[in-house]
Amino acid sequence: MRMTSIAAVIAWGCASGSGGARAEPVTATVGASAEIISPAEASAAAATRLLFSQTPGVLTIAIPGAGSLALTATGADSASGTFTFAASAEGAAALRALMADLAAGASGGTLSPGVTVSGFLAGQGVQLVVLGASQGADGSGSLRATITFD
Amino acid sequence: MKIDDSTICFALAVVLALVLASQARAVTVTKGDDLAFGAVLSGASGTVTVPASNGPPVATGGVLLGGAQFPQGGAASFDVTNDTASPATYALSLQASPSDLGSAGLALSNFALSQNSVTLGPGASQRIYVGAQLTLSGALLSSGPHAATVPLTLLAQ
Repeated sequence: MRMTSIAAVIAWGCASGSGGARAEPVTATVGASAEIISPAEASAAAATRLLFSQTPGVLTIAIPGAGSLALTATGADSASGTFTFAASAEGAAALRALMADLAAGASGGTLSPGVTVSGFLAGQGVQLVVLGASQGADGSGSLRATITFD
Repeated sequence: MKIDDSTICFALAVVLALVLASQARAVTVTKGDDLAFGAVLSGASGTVTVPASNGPPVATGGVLLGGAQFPQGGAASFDVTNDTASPATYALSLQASPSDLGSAGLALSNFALSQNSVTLGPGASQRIYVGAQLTLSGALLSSGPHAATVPLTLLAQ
């Protein structure tokens, strides 16, 4: 009985002292991470041979009979999974040709904001939405558009 | 010096008390999940905020990629356990200053805890969360995982 009493008192005193007024820091580590996706990589699974990228962040679309179109990634919509790209003046002209091909000429390659075209290109389903466009007198210009493949 | 039964009992009591005291740590912090920002788009600019409330990440600038094919983000978590034999209140503060995820184009800021204190009964534990903000500068980044080890210090008082 005597041993038990003494032990209990001392143990209580030590535990109380370490748990009550203790201010020692408790350290730990945590990992923080993000997965970086390049546009071509993100769409490669669905787009197959239509897409390839030699430079991260740049999407290149091969257009049958119209050369190629290089687009620079500017953003992505997390809800829809679509990507936004900016095209150069030369790219805009190529994109007009692509739009005309996709819609069988229905759009006439119009680059007005809000214009949406969809169709199949080399067996690949493509939808293109023009978000913004600026065209010069010579027909060249720049634009923003979303392109999705399925 | 005569050693009788009472002396032996006292010595055993001291040894037992020291063993018990050495096992009675004040608080234990056990790491759960790491902090993850999910999949973000190279070349885009914006922010991804993982709230300390353990809610889903919130993005600006359209930099966060949704969909089942991409890894999802979430807050880091810790379990704080009261190892003492009596109730205790611990003040929690986060002292971390990581600047980026290994690249200047992936800046880290605004680390936050889900709560600043926790009151626990003997042996009880509670999960707390750590959120932060990732800012993408718009620079083109190499694809793949980017990670950093974040040192954290929890002050239990």
